Amino acid sequence: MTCSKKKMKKYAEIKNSSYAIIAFFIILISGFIFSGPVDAKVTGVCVNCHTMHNSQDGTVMTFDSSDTPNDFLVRGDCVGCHGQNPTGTVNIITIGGSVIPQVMHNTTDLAGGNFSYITGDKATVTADQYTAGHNVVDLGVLDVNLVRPPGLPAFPHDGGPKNDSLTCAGNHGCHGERYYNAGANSSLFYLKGSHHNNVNGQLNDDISTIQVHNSYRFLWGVKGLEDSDWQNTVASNDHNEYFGQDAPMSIDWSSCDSAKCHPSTKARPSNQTMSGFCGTCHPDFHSQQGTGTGSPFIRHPNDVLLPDRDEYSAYTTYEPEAPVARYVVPATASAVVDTAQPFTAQGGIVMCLSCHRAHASPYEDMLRWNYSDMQTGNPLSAKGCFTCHTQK
Amino acid sequence: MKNDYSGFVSNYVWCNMFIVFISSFSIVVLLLSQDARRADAKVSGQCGHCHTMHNSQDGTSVAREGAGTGWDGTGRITGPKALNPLDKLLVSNCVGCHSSTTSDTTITVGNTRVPVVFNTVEPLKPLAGGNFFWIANESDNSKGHNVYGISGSDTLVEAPGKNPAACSDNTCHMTLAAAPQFGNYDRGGCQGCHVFTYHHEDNGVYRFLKGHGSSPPFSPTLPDTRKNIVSYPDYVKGWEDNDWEYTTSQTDHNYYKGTNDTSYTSSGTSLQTYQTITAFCSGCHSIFHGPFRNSGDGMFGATGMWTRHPTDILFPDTDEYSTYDPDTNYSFETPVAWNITDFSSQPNPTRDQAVVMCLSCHRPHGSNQPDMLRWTYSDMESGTSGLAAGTGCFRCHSEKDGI
Repeated sequence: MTCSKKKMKKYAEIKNSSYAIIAFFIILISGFIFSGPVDAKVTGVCVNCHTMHNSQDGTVMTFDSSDTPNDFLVRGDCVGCHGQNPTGTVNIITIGGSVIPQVMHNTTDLAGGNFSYITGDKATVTADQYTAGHNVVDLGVLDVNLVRPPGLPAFPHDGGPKNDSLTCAGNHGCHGERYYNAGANSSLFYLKGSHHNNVNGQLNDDISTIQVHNSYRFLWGVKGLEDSDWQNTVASNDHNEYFGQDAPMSIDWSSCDSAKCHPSTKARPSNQTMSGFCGTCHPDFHSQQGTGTGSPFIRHPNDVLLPDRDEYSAYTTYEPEAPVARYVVPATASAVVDTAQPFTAQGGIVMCLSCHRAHASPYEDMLRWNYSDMQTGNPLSAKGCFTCHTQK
Repeated sequence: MKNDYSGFVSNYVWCNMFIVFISSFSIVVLLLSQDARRADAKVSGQCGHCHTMHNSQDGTSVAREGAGTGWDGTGRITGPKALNPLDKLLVSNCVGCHSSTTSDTTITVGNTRVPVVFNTVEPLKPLAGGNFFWIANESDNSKGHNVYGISGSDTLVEAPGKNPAACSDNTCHMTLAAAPQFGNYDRGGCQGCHVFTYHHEDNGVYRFLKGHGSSPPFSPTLPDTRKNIVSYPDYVKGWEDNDWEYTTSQTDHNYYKGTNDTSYTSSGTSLQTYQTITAFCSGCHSIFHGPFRNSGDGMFGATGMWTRHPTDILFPDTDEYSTYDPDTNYSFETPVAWNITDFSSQPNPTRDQAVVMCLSCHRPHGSNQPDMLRWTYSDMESGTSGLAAGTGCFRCHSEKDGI
């Protein structure tokens, strides 16, 4: 082999190696850029969550020490697993390799709020146990103020959710499949398979294909981006991202516009937004008919673009206290709110959760802030409403 | 002149036909004898292998019983001398005859082959039912049934998932660690499960697993009439592998009877009605099986969802369960029962007859795992793609692992 041939061969080897290195980094970087839904199936040994016979060494295995085993052989029902220590100071419990977000505890609230404000295990500010949150029957605190959901003009079909039937999941609940008149199954029934198929991160499936397991927080049909620690740590660039639209759903309650809420007998928002989801039980508050479609609104609007004008355009940095939804579900949480680009993943859309915590809060009406502190014209007032209404 | 070969041809044809017939017959006989399920199970061999007429030989007693008794490597039962001759003139009791001081789990004496269920040293190839080695030699009471003569009493005072319908004035359904006595109809220890033995019969009672009849006998001892399987058909059916799964293959293993009868009740007659291995286990662990009886009992909740791992149900062939086809790819680690009435008339069960049973997860005698499991439960990690993926629980729950 001549000297030049050796050089050529060496050059080819170097070139090939370079290509390999470049290809490696392209693949690596692509993984970050195009990161989509994350497979977040529940992990850990079976015994973390299940018990085959509710018996071990002569004692029961249920988290609440009940002799009665739970459906699907789980060691606790919804609250049993996600509210294991209402007075405790752990908001994410780890058992073996399984990480379980808690919705009832006595420490930093996660994104959805904290049911301990209802049970009394955590002190409230302005709320009482009936106004702090959703009084799901699992908590054992019956809402004495309300019988049916506010904003629901009449009991639908099978009676709809009531103060004595509201559950975490299912027919009269929020999570999982919500059948119409499906009978008295436990909440767990409607979540079957969801934990073992869970997908988190960017959840963007179309209404025709979306299932419970790849819906935002198992809220069937809802799109969004799930923060990996449920906002235990939270910042302007570290938070959930919610999906919104530029108009609320049209729900003609008088003629029961069922296609919007429960085609094929299962309730879900046809527009896949968080506000639309809330509207399935509170339609007067979150529908075109209930709020109006433009100024002057007759109820506070949601699923409307945060206007790119006046006081609203001052909302430029995502504020976890008064979050906005996005017209496009982003792949990663963003600190930017650009009202000039409403139809992007950095725009801003008003939603129910801009003001409310889904589970419960220390403030009346599940608000994110003390409403009585919202004093117009007072520059010392807390942000709250003034996060958007910056000139009030 | 034309040669007449007709006689020769005729003889030649007949001769060939005879050879073909004999060959075919031999092949059939050979095939039948090779079917591991169909061999006669009754004891064969010299009487002296198991019996002693006078408990005396060459001036010394023969019978052995007590701690350390078992077959040694030379085909002899060794161990402490029995103080008295043993019932039925046996050379040892249940434990002694089915134990070994070696690591082998079958002992061949002449043409008598004895299955070993308790090795005093760790067994090399535990048989299908498992082995009592671990419960006897380790401090973990959960590694087997605590059986009188093998291990001490469990810390549990009663069988987990006890049978609330059973008699409360004796220990029959409570423990196997009690000595044979009045309180258990002299069926303490091994005979708590193997209530009657039929070593010299081929009567179809799977591994001598039979109940005491549909109602308690109310007598100090079980009358022999209860041994009659026609009058008292509360016994388990199955095909017994002829070497107790010492060797295994896709067609060389036990076949257990199961059922998918949803009317499985708590009447106390399930064993007689269904004759399944699960129904037998239910005799002492009935809360773990069967229907909703009292609040918290059984496999079903008030709304019909599973609340305990189901048994005696058809193994679904949909969704994640479709991955495991025990008909074509039987797993010895995760066996199934079969929903058929009679194995002799239905010798080839099919996928749609597969049934989940207690023994899908547990070894009845004992294993090297807590809770007598067939695998390491702590390795069953949801989402794993490691070595445990596709094994144990994931054999059936194939979408719960990470592959």
